Amino acid sequence: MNGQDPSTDTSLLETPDMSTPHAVLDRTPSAYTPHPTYRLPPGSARHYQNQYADMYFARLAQLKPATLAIAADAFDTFSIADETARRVDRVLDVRQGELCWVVGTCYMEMPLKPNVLDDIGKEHWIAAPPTRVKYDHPSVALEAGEGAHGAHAGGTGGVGTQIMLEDESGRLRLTGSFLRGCLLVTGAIVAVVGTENKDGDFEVLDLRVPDLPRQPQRWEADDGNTALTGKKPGSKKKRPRAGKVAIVSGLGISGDEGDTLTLDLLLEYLLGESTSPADQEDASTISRLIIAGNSLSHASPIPSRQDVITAATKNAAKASGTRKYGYDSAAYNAAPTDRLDQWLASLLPSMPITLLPGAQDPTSTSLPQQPIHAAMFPHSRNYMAPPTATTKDGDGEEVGWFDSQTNPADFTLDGFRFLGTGGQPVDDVYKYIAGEERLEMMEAMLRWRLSAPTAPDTLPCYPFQDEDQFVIKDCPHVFFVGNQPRFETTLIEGPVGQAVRIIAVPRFKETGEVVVVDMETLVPEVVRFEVFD
Amino acid sequence: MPPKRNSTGPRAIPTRQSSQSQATLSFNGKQNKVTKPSAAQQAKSGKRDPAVIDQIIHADVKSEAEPDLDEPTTAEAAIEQQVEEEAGTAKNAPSAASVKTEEILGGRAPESDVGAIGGKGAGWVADEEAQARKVTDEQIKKYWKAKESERLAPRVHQEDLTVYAKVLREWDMSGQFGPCIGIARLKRWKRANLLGLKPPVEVLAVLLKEMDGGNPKAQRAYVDELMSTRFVET
Repeated sequence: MNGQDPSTDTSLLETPDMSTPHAVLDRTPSAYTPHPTYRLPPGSARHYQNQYADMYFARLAQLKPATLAIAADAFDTFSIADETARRVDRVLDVRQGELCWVVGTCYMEMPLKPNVLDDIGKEHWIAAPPTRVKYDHPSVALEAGEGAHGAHAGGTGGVGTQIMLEDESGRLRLTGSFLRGCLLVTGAIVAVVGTENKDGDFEVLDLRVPDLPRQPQRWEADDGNTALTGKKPGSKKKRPRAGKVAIVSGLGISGDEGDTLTLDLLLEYLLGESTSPADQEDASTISRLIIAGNSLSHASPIPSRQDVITAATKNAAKASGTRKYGYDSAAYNAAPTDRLDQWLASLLPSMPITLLPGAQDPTSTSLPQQPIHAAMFPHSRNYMAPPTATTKDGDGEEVGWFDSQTNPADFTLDGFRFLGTGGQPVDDVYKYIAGEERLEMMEAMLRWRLSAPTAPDTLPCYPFQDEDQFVIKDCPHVFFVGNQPRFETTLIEGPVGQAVRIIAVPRFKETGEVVVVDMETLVPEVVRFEVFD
Repeated sequence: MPPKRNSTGPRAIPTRQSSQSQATLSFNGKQNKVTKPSAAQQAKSGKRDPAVIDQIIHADVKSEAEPDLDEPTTAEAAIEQQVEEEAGTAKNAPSAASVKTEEILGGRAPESDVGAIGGKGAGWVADEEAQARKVTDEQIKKYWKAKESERLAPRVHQEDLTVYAKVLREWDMSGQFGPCIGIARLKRWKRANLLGLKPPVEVLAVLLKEMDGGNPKAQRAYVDELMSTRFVET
């Protein structure tokens, strides 16, 4: 399967040796602390009447100091023809012909972004609008109104894409060929230097982003907690060698018979029931399994746009006149969740699991997705932490062996900070940016310090009022994103020595690949399960 | 739509035979059984509260709908709830545990009860509440004079307002502290403070005085009320 050449590994095909007792392998323990960064308060404490303007304001206010610091370093000495750039406070304070720099939020006006008028249109027409792969389509033919803005088509994207810089004073259109080389999405906080031209647009000469935040030391969170509780710090005590962590995503259990075999192979591998003793020893060093989204397929309670469109066209063809909105409880099929629950319950006695929800899982559709409720897992529930009525001040919630987490998820594993998502933010950023380089987009998200930059523009999210929870305050050591088309990984570096391992986890249902990360070196490797037809 | 055809082809729904064209009445069979009220049924209906039926009889239904709602709409209700929370926390003595600015802007992630929303303490960074309560009326008037002198022309249509109301309206209109709609003024001040924007302490003093004086209406921005009225008087 990996490493060992089957022809030389003779122990696999020999009759078992009955005389010597088998050594029972112990699994490496995993030191795990989840952080409640993305948890929303329960029930009545959530308020949905807030406007998203609060969230954009909070995001700009939180990231402005860091961006100002970086931009001041770069732009204070920026000069063209004996004129040095001057900082202006508000976006609308730029003056024509004057070299200046300003910080604001990026907003991209793209012709193919989801539009509420499209939704109204599809209710009246039989033909549905086509699904969008990317929001800007260079060859799309636009109406005369959009075409008139061709002169302001801006740096990147096709005809009709406009990039603007925004803050509480107003919006400023950005132009210039420099923008062609930049990755920009709506919601990113950037500092731009340049000058206003006679059309009223700002010609960009250079651009800066907040870049990676401060990265905590390994074991900092645990040492901090022990210091707070008055115990002696554990840096003196020897910590055992950390094992490995397996990250899988897109199990896609749909209740069909076809998806059981690779899942069972994965289960047997993780439990150490399959392959040779050498591989079993390897598997015993895997201390935790992280499932990064989409464990079930088609289990989201709110039907996606595609589902609604197909249902509407089916109804129109039948001419029955009844429209089924929302959730049809008579059609509920319990087989997928049952299968997932049984699978988890077989693995849980041996290995702790962290479960992140994804786009197709039965939890909230808007970010941050809340943990999948224990009611979905009647058997695995025994391994979860018991529900507490109120969270106590000071001491953390009890963490169960089976941890149902939020999406995005922020936790500390073996001393390293992990940040992971189920894939929705990266998939949405992918729609804005021309090109296929997903690792670049993930790196850009970290450098913008936003775990979901396009929320709330094209990604539904909770309307935060006090502060934007998607701002990354501590640089993680590992950033993993689930449900990506293929496995990719890279190591990025920050301005003050931060190092982040970025991992794109492929969908298990399509590729059969599991990523195993060694926690001492943070180097990932892939284990692939295939069934030969 | 495809064009209509003149000839009628075979139809998907078969037509009824002519003998079945008339509807029929029947007085026997399961559908027409008239059930006599049994003892069990009477016992069930006996549990109904006679007072409820009286209420229905005596309820007077207005013929016209009232445009002004008795209960506030969701946005107003949200602000009232925020005001109650602020009043509750302001009554308690400011606790020593507080959220630091650097925790919002960077550094260690804050230890929070509920994570994404809320946090420990009442939202104060340092001792602003104590300082605000020490601010005197003269200081507030001096602050307002300084604000007025920034403008060349005097403010119009503000003759009926007290200095407190003018200070609060100026607070609403200061866009650098965030949107003023949908959030109580005190909560907006606390949020601006946590984000490190240094809102003026005189505004906090006015807000605390209004709250102590039992005037919860002062927590809602005036433009918020204007924007959410349903009918515009012409």
